Amino acid sequence: MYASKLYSWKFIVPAFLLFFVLFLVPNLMGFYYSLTNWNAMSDQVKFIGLDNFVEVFTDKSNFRFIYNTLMFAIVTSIFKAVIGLGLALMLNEGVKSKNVLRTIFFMPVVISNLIVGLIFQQIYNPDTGILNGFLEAIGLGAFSQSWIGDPKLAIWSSMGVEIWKASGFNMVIFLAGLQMVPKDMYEAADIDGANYWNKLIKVTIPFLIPSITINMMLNVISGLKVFDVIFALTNGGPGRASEVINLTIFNQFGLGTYGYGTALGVILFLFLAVISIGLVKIFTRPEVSER
Amino acid sequence: MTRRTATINGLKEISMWILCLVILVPIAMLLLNSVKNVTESAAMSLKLPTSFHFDNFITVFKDGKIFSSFGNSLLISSVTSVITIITSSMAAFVMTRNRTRLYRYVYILFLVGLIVPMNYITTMKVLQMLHMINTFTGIILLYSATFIPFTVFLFYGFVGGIPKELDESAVIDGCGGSGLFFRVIFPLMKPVSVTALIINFLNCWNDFVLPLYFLNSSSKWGMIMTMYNYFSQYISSWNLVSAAMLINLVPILTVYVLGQKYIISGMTAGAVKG
Repeated sequence: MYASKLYSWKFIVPAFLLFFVLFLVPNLMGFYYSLTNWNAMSDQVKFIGLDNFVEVFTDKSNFRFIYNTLMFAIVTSIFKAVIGLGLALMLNEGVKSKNVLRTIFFMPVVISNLIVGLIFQQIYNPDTGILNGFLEAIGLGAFSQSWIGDPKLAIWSSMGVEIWKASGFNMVIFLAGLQMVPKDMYEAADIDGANYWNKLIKVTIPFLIPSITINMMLNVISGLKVFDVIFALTNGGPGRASEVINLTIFNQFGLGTYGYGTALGVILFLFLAVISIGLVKIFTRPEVSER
Repeated sequence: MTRRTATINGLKEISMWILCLVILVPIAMLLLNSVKNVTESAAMSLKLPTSFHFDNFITVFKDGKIFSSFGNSLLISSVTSVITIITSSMAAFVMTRNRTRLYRYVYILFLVGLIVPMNYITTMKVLQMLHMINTFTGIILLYSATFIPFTVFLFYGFVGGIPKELDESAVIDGCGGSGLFFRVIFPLMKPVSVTALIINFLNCWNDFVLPLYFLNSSSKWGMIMTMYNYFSQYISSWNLVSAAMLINLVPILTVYVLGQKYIISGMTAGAVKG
């Protein structure tokens, strides 16, 4: 039987149609509507050129959420990867209860962001929260803070929640990467008299480069898209101090300023599209070399 | 030497158990507060309750709409997972078998969907045009559309490992295109299907962004949204809120503990291939 008949293009239709109509089309429409004054007040949609984009980048109060989004993506990516690597190295072998410990460290990944955010609202509470309580108990009461009430601190506290939640995910990716390191490399290093740090830097890390790349890419992407954790923890507050781009879009949606909100969506799209080009290249590399 | 290694491993073990308290303490806090009375739970602390109030759970079950929202979550999550798995596996199968340039571009388009964000506001417009806003059909198809890229990626890696010779022998035995897929290939994909099922199911169950945008009527909300609504109603009764959260966590953690192996294999698929 001919391949074209056996592997019919019709098989691709349901998945592609769903993806096209409910994901690609809205994104493409976004490019058009971002150039209009589309809003909930009037029925007429007027073409206004790049005005929305000009407004985004000239309104000084917007710099806050752009800065927050970028900082959030960068800081959480680095911490998640470093902590994830540390956990993976500790739990790779030797520890007897490693399976139980891995299960525990990965657990926050599957818990709803909403629940995590609300729990941390209580943990961060300046008077009754257990974080300040813990700091006082170990004699560091001077460091206790109004974690989410202080405008300067709120975004950093949200980063803490994201790191708490997703470091386990990085750990799992690194653990998979560690299985790829050939054992005889360590034996050879032992014979050469290498200590733990030598082996880590000269043997382990080079073999982990693919895992590091994947983790950093996924971390940056999810960091730029962050919404739920901050929505549940601070809702962008106090004021707009911990607002991020996806939260601004949600607020614009509530206000009915759809054109402006869509323009923000397009900006986020462009940010991520640039990163995605690099990511797609990495994901598809093995298939290319096969042929 | 071996004795030294044993000591180091012991120290590692102890330090890791201490470190994992960071994860366990918030959960323990939730457990303790769910059985306190209102005044004690106002300060979410780790103090033991003076008396155990298991009736908090009964209160939540009585007025929290738990059962209907559990049904909604179950309906939305399972139908979404099934649609996603069937459509994605079919697409991935054809794309791995036909290695032409066109199919390659389609695959890359799916991968782009893995990365770029969803445009919520225009999605609302599309749903309105299709008359699917605020309906189960709309939200299920929307979830499917968002999960398809990841699921296609997952299946794509797996189908590539199924030898083509199998297709040929199936054809000789008289299978057509769909017979080949549904009778021969799909059963072989069971491990990856289970992975996709669990991951999509959990993501769907945990998500509250799409209902926030696209489901206005509370009668269609799943457990997470209902819990959030409950939280805003009883903001000062943290004992009840904690109990509601725990009721939410039980199904999620059960699925996690039982399906852990599959979740992790799915999530590492990308890293191992890269």
